[in-house]
Amino acid sequence: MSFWKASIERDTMGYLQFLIIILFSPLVNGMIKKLKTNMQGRVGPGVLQPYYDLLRLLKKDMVVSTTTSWLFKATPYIVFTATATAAVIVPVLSTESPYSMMGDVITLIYLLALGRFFMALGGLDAGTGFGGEGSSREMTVAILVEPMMMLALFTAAISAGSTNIVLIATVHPAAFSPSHLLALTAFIVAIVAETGRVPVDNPDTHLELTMIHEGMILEYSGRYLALMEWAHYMKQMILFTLAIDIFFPLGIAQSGNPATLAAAVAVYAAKVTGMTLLMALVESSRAKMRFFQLPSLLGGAFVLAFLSLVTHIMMGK
Amino acid sequence: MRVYVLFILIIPLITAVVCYNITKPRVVGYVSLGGTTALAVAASPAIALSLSGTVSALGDTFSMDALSGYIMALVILLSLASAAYSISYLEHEYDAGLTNVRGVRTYYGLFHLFIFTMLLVTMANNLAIMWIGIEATTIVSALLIGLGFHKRPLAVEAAWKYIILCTVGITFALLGTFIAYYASTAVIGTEGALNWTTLRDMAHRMNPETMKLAFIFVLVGYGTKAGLAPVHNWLPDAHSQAPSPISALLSGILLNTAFYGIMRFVSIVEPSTGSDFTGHLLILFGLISIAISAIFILVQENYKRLLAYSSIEHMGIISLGIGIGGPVGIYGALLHVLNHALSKPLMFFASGKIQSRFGTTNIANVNGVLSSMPLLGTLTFIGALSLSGTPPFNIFVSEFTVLKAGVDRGLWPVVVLFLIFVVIVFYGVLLGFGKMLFGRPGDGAAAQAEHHPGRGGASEWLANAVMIFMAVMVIALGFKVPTVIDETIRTCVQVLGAK
Amino acid sequence: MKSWIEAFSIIDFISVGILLTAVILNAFKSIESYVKSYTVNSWLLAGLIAVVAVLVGETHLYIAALLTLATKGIIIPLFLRGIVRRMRVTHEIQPYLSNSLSLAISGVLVAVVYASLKEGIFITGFSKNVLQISIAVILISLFVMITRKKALTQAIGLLFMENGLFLAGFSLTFGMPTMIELGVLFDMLMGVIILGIFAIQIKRAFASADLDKLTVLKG
Repeated sequence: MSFWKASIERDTMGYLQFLIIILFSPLVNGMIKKLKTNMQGRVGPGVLQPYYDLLRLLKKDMVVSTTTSWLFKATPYIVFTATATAAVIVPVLSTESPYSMMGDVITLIYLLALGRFFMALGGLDAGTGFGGEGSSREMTVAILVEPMMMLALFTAAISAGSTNIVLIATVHPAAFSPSHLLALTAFIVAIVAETGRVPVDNPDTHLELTMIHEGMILEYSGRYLALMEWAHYMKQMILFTLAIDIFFPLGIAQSGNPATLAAAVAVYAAKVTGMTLLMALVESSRAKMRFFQLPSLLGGAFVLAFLSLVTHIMMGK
Repeated sequence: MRVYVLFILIIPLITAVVCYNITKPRVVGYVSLGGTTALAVAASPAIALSLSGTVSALGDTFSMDALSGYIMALVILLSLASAAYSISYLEHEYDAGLTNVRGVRTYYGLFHLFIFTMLLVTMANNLAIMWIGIEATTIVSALLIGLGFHKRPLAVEAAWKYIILCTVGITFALLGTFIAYYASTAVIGTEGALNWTTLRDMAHRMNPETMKLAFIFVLVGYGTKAGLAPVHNWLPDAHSQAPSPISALLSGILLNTAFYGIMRFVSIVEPSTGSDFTGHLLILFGLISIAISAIFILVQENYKRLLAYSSIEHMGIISLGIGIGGPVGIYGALLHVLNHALSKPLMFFASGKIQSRFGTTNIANVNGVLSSMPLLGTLTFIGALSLSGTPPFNIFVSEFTVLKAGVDRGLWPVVVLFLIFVVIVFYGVLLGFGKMLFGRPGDGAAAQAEHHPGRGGASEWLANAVMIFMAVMVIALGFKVPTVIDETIRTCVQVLGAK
Repeated sequence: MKSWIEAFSIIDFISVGILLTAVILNAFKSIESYVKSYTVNSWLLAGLIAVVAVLVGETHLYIAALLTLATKGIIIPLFLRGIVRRMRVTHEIQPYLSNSLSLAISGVLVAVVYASLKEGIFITGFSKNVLQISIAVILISLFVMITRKKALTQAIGLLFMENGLFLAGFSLTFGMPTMIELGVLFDMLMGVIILGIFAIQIKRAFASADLDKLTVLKG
């Protein structure tokens, strides 16, 4: 009997974590937007605005271009599913989860990349100029960002001896060595690039000069758009959680004990709030870079990630 | 005796300050000459003593043995010659309006400061102080090169290249010194770990790998300063753009003080690493230097640059001599130091005169020196013959000694290459200067060049006397090396520990 | 000392910081940024010496730290800033290699240094890491000197090289006797001053601070 009880506890924990990311990701995005607008001296939309937007979109009719193929219709579902699967893998509150053995860093990155791939294809499918532009830019950024992200994560993985996120989270309570700090800096640049924030991309406008992500989803409407946007919010929160797990997992629950779980909830909420604050700061303090300058920025971050790896190998810390 | 040794350092400093503060351009030169003479007088007892034993001052920080004495004697001899020549040179520049009072004063002040730094190098027992001295020579000489007398932007370019390249090199040399310090503290702790006298005695106990690394850095570093290829690029510019008496000092003794540093290091490194490592490196750099200078000498259009490349060649020969090693090799190298220090300044002095007479440094524009200025022409001819290694002049003797050392050791490829390049240099130098010496004056652009006749008088006479003296020495040493010098060099060889 | 364990990590952080300031040199275009980077580098260097002084407890190291701070951290940056203002040259406009490429090459240089100095002839521990970093700094500054055109950038690259060298020597020998360090620092100070003077002379003589123009002497 206790066996079943323990397994139900564990499974519940697995489902619970997944739900946290799905349900709270719009809130996180709303928080970032609110903080950003406050810093810029405006009032801004409410924190719950993304929820209202999603609900509204789900109820609306869809307008689909006649020049699209099955890809256009399939993409939102593929993207959403891929991102949701990634959400299942990432440990949020606790390292005890029935899916923990699937939780490999490389798997995660590739799930997200799968979503990106289909998004880019979907953008091309409609045959509009904006879609094509968005897709090509997104791919350029991806080529620059993914190796950097992998390098930064590998540095942490090497020190833990495995690429399993759960294992990495249990080894180090925090990143207090020079190589980890360098990797963290590079990873933050990667997050900014992946979530399409200033200075890489501007999430607030639909001007053709500033669109990467917005360009790809321009043709979507109604339910499809809701799914794509939601997937985007989820990806953002997943990346935050990943950063938290890998670089400062202090406070994550290591058992099914309800007390530690409660503590883990509080700690997690605090850390995510910290990340949103950081994102809002980064966005408010910079102007969007012109696209051809992006390789310099991302290249510099790549060198940083490379240095972190080399430093780690040299110093052993 | 201790007090005397410190005087050697103080006198040039005082002279420098005094010269800078004198406002009459005619007087400054003679004051400077007086200061240099006083230096020579003060240094003689110390040098004489050092040739037979060791002279120390300030505990172990400064000490002079035979090698220091030998090099110091060269420094002072050349300073005397250069100071004497400077008088007429600067008078001429001042009259031609190429400089003002400020420039003349600065020149003499820096001149003596420069001598001070070189003396510091020769007297230093502590490797770090030796480094400080060499770095100081770089800085002061850069100022001297760049003095440029306001009309030569090229002088600034030359000085910039000089100071950047040499400082980079010297930084590496400092790293090498640090590594050597590390190796020695590992053996004997920190007491006296940088003193050459201490190090020489326990050199065989130091870690060979560490010392090899230290030597590589030091060779690259001091080798840059000594003009060894491939880090010689600053030399043609610096030595050709500097005022002639300074070029004489630079080629004649500064390069040698850099070699002094290398020699000291060789004797510390060899006991633990064996002489093959250091020898091969030195031979390699020496041959490359001779090769590169031979090629560039052939295509030179500027006679001062030609002389600079000739310096590189002779430094290569010295490096070769030390690299081949053994008592004969080192004897040859040290004798070559002396011979080059006599011939090269002679040539630079002569070319200074030619430059002021013809107003150009371009070989093609100078003709008929021998017929229009017989004394100067003859002296130039003697110098050119000597520099190209013609018997029976002095450089031939030392080149031959190095050659013999190579043959004794059975280093046939080295010997053959050496011979080939030396022949090329022979041809190049004589060709270049021959074009200037022979022919009729008035051919070519020289006829239109501005003609600044010498002022005549005491300063001209002095300059001529200096050059005649050097030419005489050049010829005399070709026939026989005087016993004094022979004994000195043998002692130096012993000091360096050659078996 | 309570700072024992901390000190070890701090030393690592500071030395990586020193490496970063050298690498970042490749990413900047304005000469004032170079000077700022040099200042941070010197301060970190002085800080490192001070931390080691606390660790080892030798007084002459404190003096060395103070000297380094005074000359390299304060006097030389002020002097450089004055020269930059006098020369009115502010940017390195067209280096021979683009900034991103030179940044990448610097990263590669660092890796090469780490790889080649792994088994050493030197004592491990504190010395080895710092020695590797210092040689990496020397190589990176040499690289910057070669690929840039402005005279001042070359001078600053030289200064970085001297910093790296100082660090290397320090990691090997815990510093030399104070008199000698004084002498070495004084030499470097004089060298910097002369470089500054010449930089201005170059500007005056060639009406540009581009070393490209300094190719008259050839052959």
